[in-house]
Amino acid sequence: MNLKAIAKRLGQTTLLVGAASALGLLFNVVRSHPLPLWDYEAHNIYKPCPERSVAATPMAVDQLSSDLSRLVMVDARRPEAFASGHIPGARSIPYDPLLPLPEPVIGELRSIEAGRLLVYGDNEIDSGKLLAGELASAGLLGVRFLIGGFGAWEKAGRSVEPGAER
Amino acid sequence: MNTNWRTALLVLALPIRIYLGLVFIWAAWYKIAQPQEFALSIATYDMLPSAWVNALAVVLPWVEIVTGLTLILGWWTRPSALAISGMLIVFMVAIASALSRGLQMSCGCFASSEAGEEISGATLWRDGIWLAGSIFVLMLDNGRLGLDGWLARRRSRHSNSRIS
Repeated sequence: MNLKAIAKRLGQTTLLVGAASALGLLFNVVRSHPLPLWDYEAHNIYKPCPERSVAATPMAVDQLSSDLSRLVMVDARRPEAFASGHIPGARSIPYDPLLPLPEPVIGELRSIEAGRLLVYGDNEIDSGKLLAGELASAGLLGVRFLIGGFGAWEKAGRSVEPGAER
Repeated sequence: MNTNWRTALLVLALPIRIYLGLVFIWAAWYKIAQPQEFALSIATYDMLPSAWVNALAVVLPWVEIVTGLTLILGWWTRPSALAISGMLIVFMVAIASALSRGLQMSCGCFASSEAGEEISGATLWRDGIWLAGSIFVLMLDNGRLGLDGWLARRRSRHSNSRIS
């Protein structure tokens, strides 16, 4: 196809698009509820947040050996629940889905070797799973959470340590 | 390219042309019926200044429906295919941009933002296949199996009768 033919096709395309646009504008004028052409008010759009939660790895109680010394346990429940009993050696980081995790806490957990962090929460909303997801989203590698949370731990008859965090 | 090949490609282009035309007419239908919904879909892509959104929502469906019709009829076949290719490229850029920004949203292609399919890599692939089809029509279909061909034959008969 030579240049002249290309120019002709482009001209025809412009004409076609122009005619169709004119038809659209005309139809908008005659329709019962025309759309205002220039609307400077921002549209009320619902723009969902990008996916935050990167999946953390689930882990059942029976997959855990009796020696927990290699693991860093994080308790995501409220401080009162932690005080009434927690997995021995666990650290309390109460999780509130409406509040951002403090940057120093993330920074501290980031220094833990990948695969050693195990988060657990309560049975109902499974705060452990949510916190583990949040930590994984923050870029921490190999974060795991306990399926069924502290309830599953207790049910399995594993040892529980009382008392608030020192 | 020999004549047999050219005829085979022309025959192959015909169903592609009709399919693409129907897709674009179908796509335009809800947009013309519910311009506010379509404007909202455009706005959700967050690529245009707010002031331009409504104008595009008014004009674009008509460009789709007119080019879809002319493509099916085989009238101004190549300009129609060129316009459709252009639109598909713009749609693909918009979808790719929305995907890269992590937006979870409806495509706004065939239905309102609430009822529509969510954009994904598959949406991009689908548009890519349609783009390949429209480029195929653009390159190889001169509209001989349509109004373009009929008008050309009519013109040639007229000029022949004038000469004789």
